[in-house]
Amino acid sequence: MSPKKVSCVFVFYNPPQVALDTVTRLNSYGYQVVVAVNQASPDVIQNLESLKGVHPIINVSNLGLATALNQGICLSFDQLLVNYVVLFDQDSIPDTTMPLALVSEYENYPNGEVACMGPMLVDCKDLSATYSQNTLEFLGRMPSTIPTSGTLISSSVWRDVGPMLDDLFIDAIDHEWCFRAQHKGYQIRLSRNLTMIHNMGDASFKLRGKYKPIHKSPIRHYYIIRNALYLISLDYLPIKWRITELAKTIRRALIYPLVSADFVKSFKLIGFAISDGIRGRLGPCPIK
Amino acid sequence: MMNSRGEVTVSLVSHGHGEMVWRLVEQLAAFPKVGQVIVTLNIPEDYPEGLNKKVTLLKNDSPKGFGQNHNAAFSLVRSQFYCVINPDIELSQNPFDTLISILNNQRVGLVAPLVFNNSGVPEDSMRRFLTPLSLLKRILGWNSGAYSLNFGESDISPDWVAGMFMLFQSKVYAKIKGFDECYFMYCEDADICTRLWRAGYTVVGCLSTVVVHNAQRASHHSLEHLNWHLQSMFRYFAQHLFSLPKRM
Repeated sequence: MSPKKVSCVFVFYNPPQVALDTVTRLNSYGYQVVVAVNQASPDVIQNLESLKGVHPIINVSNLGLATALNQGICLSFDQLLVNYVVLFDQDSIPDTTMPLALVSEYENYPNGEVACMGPMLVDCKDLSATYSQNTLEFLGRMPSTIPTSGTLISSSVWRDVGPMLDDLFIDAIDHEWCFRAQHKGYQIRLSRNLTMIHNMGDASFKLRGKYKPIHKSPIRHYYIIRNALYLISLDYLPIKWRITELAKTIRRALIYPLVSADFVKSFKLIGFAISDGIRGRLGPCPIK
Repeated sequence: MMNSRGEVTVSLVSHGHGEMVWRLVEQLAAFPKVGQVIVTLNIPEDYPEGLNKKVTLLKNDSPKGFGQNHNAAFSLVRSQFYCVINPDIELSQNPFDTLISILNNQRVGLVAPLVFNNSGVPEDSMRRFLTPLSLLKRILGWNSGAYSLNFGESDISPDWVAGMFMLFQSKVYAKIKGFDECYFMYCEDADICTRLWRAGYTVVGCLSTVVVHNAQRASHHSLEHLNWHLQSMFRYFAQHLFSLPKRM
């Protein structure tokens, strides 16, 4: 397949230089590249605009990850008429050949069987994989959800499953979409051969010799807890996942203020998150 | 799946219009029902810092046509209503409340306001279907094919409305697959209205809401524009002449 039939969709929010380098690299290789910018310096925007063949979508305010992804994906399928999109965020560092290799592996499966497929993500901090080998053998390379970054989606599956849930704004978008796809009878697949370096979390701590990613931002705590509680209320998500997620959410609500950069703000926002999650009040965080 | 950011998304395309566009954008963004304003910069153009937070910018590598630009903007739309507007429109009032109330009738696919020129005279923005005979009459100055339009009168259902201000139901725009991108510069508006009628939707001209426009009749002055105009008209006739919708 020609790289022109594959669109690499990025979402930028104050991106590091490496993100622009990745966009330049993939664009030079011949992929269509769409970058939805939720916030970036004028220099970054000017650089993006100067790249011939890159399609920037510049949002003056932060519309959230879900909306930005939807913008990039819809523009790719509706206007660039590509067969596949591969989603990235600014912390992804894919090999140039990875999107095409992913298409090639995806096309080995019968048409209409797999909703999305991603590479194994490798944390750039210690080059450890997100899934252990034992877990993968147990899952038969069929996890219930995969992170959006590195994920390949075909045009026909996208039109059937629909867009990401805009109002989730940032967290748990991947969980909801993957479960919705499975509810429609699709499988989620992890590549057997491909890996992608990714920066997991905005901080990490070492536990038993391995880095564990963690978010320190109170705003992020709000979204993680609110969206988890909202997803628990959705009946197309498996009951086992909802029970496990409830236990994890209780644990997170207790731990997050302790690891946060601002204990009081985190504590307060977690209170709002619980209230909003249970009431189904979504959209951007009401407190900045 | 709609999100909670406003009922209307507005799309406008700047061809280097500069200050005129940004003034209109600020005005549009101030209306509560407008959730997003998508501005397509069709040719390289600087834009001011501190734009309204409702704005999303698209920049083209090379200039695209009217239909292609508005269809590209539509791929970002998640609101219930989609408004296509020319950059040289001026708004003296908020047109959206009245226009949306008309679109709440599910059979109405598109509504347009009355368009005045700068001298306060209604423009011929609502017309009857294009046919070779109506074209000939127009050339000879016998009949422009326009309706008699007077501010404050009851709404009408014209055959088609000019593309300078069109408010669609988003789901209807998606259903008829938006503008036909094979047209260039002219007749996209007549074509989309004809397809709306054929799909069973009504086109409404609202005579109690006014916007102001300075029409650029470039086809009267430039051979290139005249050529595009003729090509578009022949395409329209080829597509619709023998299958014009039967109106009640």
